[in-house]
Amino acid sequence: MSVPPIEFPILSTILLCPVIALLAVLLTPGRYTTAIKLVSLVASAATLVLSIWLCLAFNAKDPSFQYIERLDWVRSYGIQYANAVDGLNVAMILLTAIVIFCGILVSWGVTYRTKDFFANMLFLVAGVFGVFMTTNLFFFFLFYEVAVIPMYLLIVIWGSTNKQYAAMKLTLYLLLGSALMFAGFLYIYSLPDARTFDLLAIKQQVTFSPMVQNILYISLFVGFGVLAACFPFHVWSPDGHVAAPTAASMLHAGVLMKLGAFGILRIGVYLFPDGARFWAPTIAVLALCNIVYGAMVATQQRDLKYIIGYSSVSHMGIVLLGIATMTVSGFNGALFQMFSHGIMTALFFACVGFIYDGCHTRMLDELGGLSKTAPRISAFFIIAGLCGLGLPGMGSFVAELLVTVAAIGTYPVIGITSLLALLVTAYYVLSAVQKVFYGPENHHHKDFKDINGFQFIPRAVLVGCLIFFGVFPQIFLDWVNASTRALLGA
Amino acid sequence: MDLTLLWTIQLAPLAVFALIFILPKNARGIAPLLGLTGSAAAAVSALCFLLAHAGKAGQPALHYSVDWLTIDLPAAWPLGKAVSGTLKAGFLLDPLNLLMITLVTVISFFVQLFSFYYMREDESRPRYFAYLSFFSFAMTGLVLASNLLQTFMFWELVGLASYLLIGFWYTKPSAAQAARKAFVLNRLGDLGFYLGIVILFVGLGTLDFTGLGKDAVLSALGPTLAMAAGLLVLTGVMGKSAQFPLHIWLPDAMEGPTPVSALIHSATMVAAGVFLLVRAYGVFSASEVTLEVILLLGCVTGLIGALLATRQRDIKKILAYSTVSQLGLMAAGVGAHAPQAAMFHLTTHAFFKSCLFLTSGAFIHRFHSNDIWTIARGGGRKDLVPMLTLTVGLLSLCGLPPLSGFFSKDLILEAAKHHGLAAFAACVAVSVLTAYYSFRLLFIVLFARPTAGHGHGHHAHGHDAGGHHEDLLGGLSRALPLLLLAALSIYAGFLGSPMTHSPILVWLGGHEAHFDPAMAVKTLVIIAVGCAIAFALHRDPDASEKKLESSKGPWAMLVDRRFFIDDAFVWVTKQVGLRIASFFDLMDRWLVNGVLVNGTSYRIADLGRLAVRLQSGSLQGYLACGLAVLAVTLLWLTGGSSR
Repeated sequence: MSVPPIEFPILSTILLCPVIALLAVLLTPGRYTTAIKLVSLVASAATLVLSIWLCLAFNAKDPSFQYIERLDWVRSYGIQYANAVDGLNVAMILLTAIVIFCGILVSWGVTYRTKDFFANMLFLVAGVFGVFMTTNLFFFFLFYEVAVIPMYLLIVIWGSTNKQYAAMKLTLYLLLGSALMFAGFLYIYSLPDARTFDLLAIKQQVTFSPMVQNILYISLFVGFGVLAACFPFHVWSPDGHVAAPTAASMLHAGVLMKLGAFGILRIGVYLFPDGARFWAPTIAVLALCNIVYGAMVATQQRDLKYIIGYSSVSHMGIVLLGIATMTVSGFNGALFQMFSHGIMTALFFACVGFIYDGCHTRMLDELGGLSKTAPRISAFFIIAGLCGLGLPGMGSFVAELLVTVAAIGTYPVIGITSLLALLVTAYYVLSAVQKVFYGPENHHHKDFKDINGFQFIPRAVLVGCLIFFGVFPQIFLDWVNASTRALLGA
Repeated sequence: MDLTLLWTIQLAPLAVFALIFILPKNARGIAPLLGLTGSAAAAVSALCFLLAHAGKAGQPALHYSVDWLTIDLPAAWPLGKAVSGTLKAGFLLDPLNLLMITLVTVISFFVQLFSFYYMREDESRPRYFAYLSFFSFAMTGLVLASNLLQTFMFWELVGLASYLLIGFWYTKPSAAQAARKAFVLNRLGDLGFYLGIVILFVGLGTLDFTGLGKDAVLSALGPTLAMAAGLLVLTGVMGKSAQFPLHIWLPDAMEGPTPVSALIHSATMVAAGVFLLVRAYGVFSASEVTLEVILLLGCVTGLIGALLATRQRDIKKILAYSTVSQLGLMAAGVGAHAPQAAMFHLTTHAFFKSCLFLTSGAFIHRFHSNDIWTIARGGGRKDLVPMLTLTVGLLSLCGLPPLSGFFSKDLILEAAKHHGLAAFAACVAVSVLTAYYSFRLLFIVLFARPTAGHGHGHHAHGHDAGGHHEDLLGGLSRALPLLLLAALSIYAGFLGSPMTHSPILVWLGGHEAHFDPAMAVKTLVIIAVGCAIAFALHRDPDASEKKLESSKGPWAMLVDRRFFIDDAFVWVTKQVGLRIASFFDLMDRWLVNGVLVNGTSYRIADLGRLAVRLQSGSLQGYLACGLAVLAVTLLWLTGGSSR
C-alpha cells in the first residue's frame, strides 16, 4: 500500500489538535459538559486519524528523520521548535493517539469537575505528543514537564486510594528523573563543540570521549529509567497506577512510562552508543530484576490495580532487556513491547476502572463471579490478561519473542532466567481471573451493570489493535526496522 | 483448490466463533447449528483433501507459506554465529498431518453433534459452541502449521481453548481451579519448548519442518545441543500430552463438560504432544538419549496412569487415567523407534476413547452422576446404545482382536519388544492393567443389581417412565455419534492391519506390519488375565464397592493420594515459589519503598525540621548568628587580601 507523502506539517497538526481543543475547552463554560466532552473526543479522533495517516505515509525504508519541521525559538541558545518522525517514534505517536482516543471515551462518565478533567487530559497528551516528536533537547525537557504536571493534578483531584501520597511520590520521582536529564542536557550544551540543543547537530558536531559517554549515558539512563520504572526506581509506578483515575491510569501506564524507554533510545543510545554498550550488561541485570521480581511481587498483591501495576513493572523490564541486548531484534522487540504493552495496559485499566466504579472495590477477596454478573467487561479483562501472559496471536507474544531470542542470544543466563516470568505471569493473571471473574457470584455486586454499546467501543478498539499487530507483526517491524538498524550502525 | 480447502478447514471454525459472539442475544439460539455447520464444513473439506491425496506417500501434498517475522542477531549464543532468518507462516501438508487433520475434524464434528444433545438444557450453550469452534480453529492450526513456531503458537491457543472449556462452568470453584492448573502446568512444559525452539532457530536459522530432519539438526547443532534441544521440546510434549510428572492436570480437566473431555482431553489436543513427537521426529531422533528418555517417560506414564485408573469410581476419571496411560504407550512407541505405530495407535485411540467418553456423557446426562455404581444401579445396562458402545470401546481399549485397538497396540508392544526387555515388560504390565480396569468398569455396570429407590438413579428412572422428552433430534444426536464412533473403533484397525497390507503405516513412511501369531496369543493371554482378575474382584459390585471404600492399606493410600505427585507440586508452589514471592513483596514494601524511598523523604523532612529550629524568633539568636557570619566573612576577606 503506497500512500503519497503528506504535504502539510503533519506533526505540528497532530500536536495542535489537543492544544486547540484545550483552548476551546477552557473557553467553554463548565456547565456545558457534553460540549466539552465532544470537543475532546473530536480532537482525539482527529489525532488518531492523522497518526494513522502518518503511519501509512511514513517511508519505512528511509532510516533518517522525515517530515522535519523547524522554527527558531531562541536562536542564540540553539533552541528550536523542531519535530521529526522516524521509525522510533512513528509507532509511539500512533500509540498515544489510540490511548487518548480510548481514554476520552472511557472518561465519558466523569461528572466531578468535568471541564478541568478534560482540560488536564488534553494538556497531558499534548505534552506526550511533544516529547515523542521533538528533536530538540530543550523542547524535549519542556514537553516532558508539561506531561508531568497535569498527571499530578489528575491523581490528586480525581484519584482514589492514598492519592495525595501517590501523586506527590510520582511527581517527585519524575522530577528527579527530569533533573538528572536536564543536567545532562546542560552539560552537553556547555561543550564547546555543541552550543546547541539540536539533537542532530549534536550528533554530527560532537565526539564524546568514552569516559564522558559512560557517565552521561548512565545519568540519562537513570533519569529516563525512573520513568520507565526500572528496578529499583519502580515503586512510584504501582502507587501511581492505583491512585490515578481510570483514563489517567491508561495514559500513565500506557504512554507515560514509554516516554522513559523512548528517551533512552532516542537520546541515550543515539548520542552515546559506546556508553550504552558499556552499561548494557548492568542494565540487563536490572531488567531481569524488573521482569522476574515484578512478576513475583505481583503474585502477592490483593488489589487488582496493584497486580496490574506490578505487571507493568515486569513488562517494562522486557523493554529494558530488549534495549540492553543492543541488537536490532532486541530494539525492535523493545519498541514492539512498548506499543503492545501500552495498548494492553490501557485495556486493563479501562476494565478495572469500570469494575471499581460499579463494585466500589478492587480487592480480590471482595470480588467474585463477575463473569456471571458482567460477562462483557470480564471478557475484556480476560483478553488483556491473556495478552499479558504472552498468548500467541496478541502483540505481546511477538514482542516477548523478539526480546527473548535476542536476550538468550546475547546474555544466555539472563535470557533463560527471564523465561521464568512467563510461568509466574500465567500464575498471577489466572489466579486473579479465578478470584475475580470465576467462582460463585458475589451478592454484594448483583446490581453491577455491564458495559453498554457505547462503552464497548474503546475496549474493542484496543483489543482489535492487540490482535491486529499480534497476527501481522511485520507491519510494525517494517516501520521500526530501518531506524533501529541505523541506530545501531548495523 | 487445495488451498481453498485448507483455508476452509482453518477458518470456518474461527468464523463460527466470531459470529456467535457478534450475534444479537435473541438470535444466539442458532449457535449450536452454526457450530455444527462450521465443523461439518471443516470435516468435509478435510475428507475431500484426503481423498484427493491419500496413498501418495513421500511427497508433501502442499507447502504454502508467507513471511511472518524477521529476526536478526549478531553473534548469538549458543553457537556464537550470526542469525538472520525469517519466520514463516503457512501450511505444510504431508501424509502425517493429513491423517491428523481428518481425525481432528471428523471427531470434532461428532462431538459437536453429540453436544447438541448433551448441552441443550444449558443456558450458556452459545458460549459453549463458540469455545468448541475456537478449539477446532486452534487445533487445525496446530496440525496444519508449516513450522515449529507456528505449531507452538497454536499449541498455546489450544491450551487456551482447553482452559476456557475446563472452566466452562466457572461458577464452580473446582472447575475454575482445574482450568488454572491445566494452563499453568502446560505453561511449565512450554517454557522448555520455547527455549528449545530458540536454540533450534539460532542453530538452523529456520524452523520449517522440512528443514528439521535428523541430519540437518545434528550437523547444525552437534550432538550435545541437539540432545538439549530435543529434551527441551520434549518438556512441552510432557505438558500437553500429560506425561509424567506433568500428567496431573488431565484428571482434573474432567471438570469440563463431557463432550469436551471426549474431544480435547482424550482424542485430539492431548494427542498433539505425540503428534509433535512424530512431526518433529528429526529433532528427537537426533539423539539416542532423547529417544530413551521418551521411552522411559512413556513407560512410567503408562504404568502410573493405568495404576491410578484401577481405583477410581468416577467414570470420567477412569477414562482420564486411561488416556494418560495410553498416551504413555504412544510416547513409548515413539521412543522405541516406531513413530508410525504411535501415530496409528493415536488414531485408533482417538476413535475408541472419544466413543467411550461420549458414552460416559450419555450415561452421565441420563443418570445425573459420574459414579459408576450409581449409574450401574440406576439401570445403566438397560440403556442399550451406550451399553453397546461402552462394550465396544472398552474391548477395543484392551486390544481384543480384531477391534482396532488390537492392531495398534500390538505394533507398539512389538516395537518395545525389539527395543528391550524392560520396555516390553512395562508395556505388557500396562496392557494387563488396562484389561483389568476396562473389565472392572464393564462388570460393575453389567452385574450391579438395580435398586429402585437409589438416589439419582430413581430420579432418572422416573424421568424416563414419565416420558422423558427424548425427541427425535435429541435421540439422534445422542445415538448417532456413539454408533458411528463405535463402528470406527471396530474397523479403523484395518487401516494398519497386516491383512490389508497396513496402508496407513506405509503411507506414513513406515514398513508394512507382519502378522505374528505369537504376539496375538500373548495379547489374548494379557486380556484373559486382566479379565479374570476383574471378574474375581468385581463380579459382586456391592461387595467390591464396600471393599474399595474400606481399603486402607498403604497401597490404597498411595493410589488415592495419586502417588503424592500433586502434593509435591503444591508443596513446591507454596513452600518455594510463593515464599520467594512473599519475600520479594516484603522487600519491596520495607526495603525499596520503606527505607529507600520514604526513608529519603523522611530524612529530608528531618533536615527541614532542623532548619525550622533556627527560626526560633529570638532576636538575640538571630543577632548572634548574624555577627558570627559577619566575623567569619571579614576574617576570610582579610585573610584573602593579606596573602
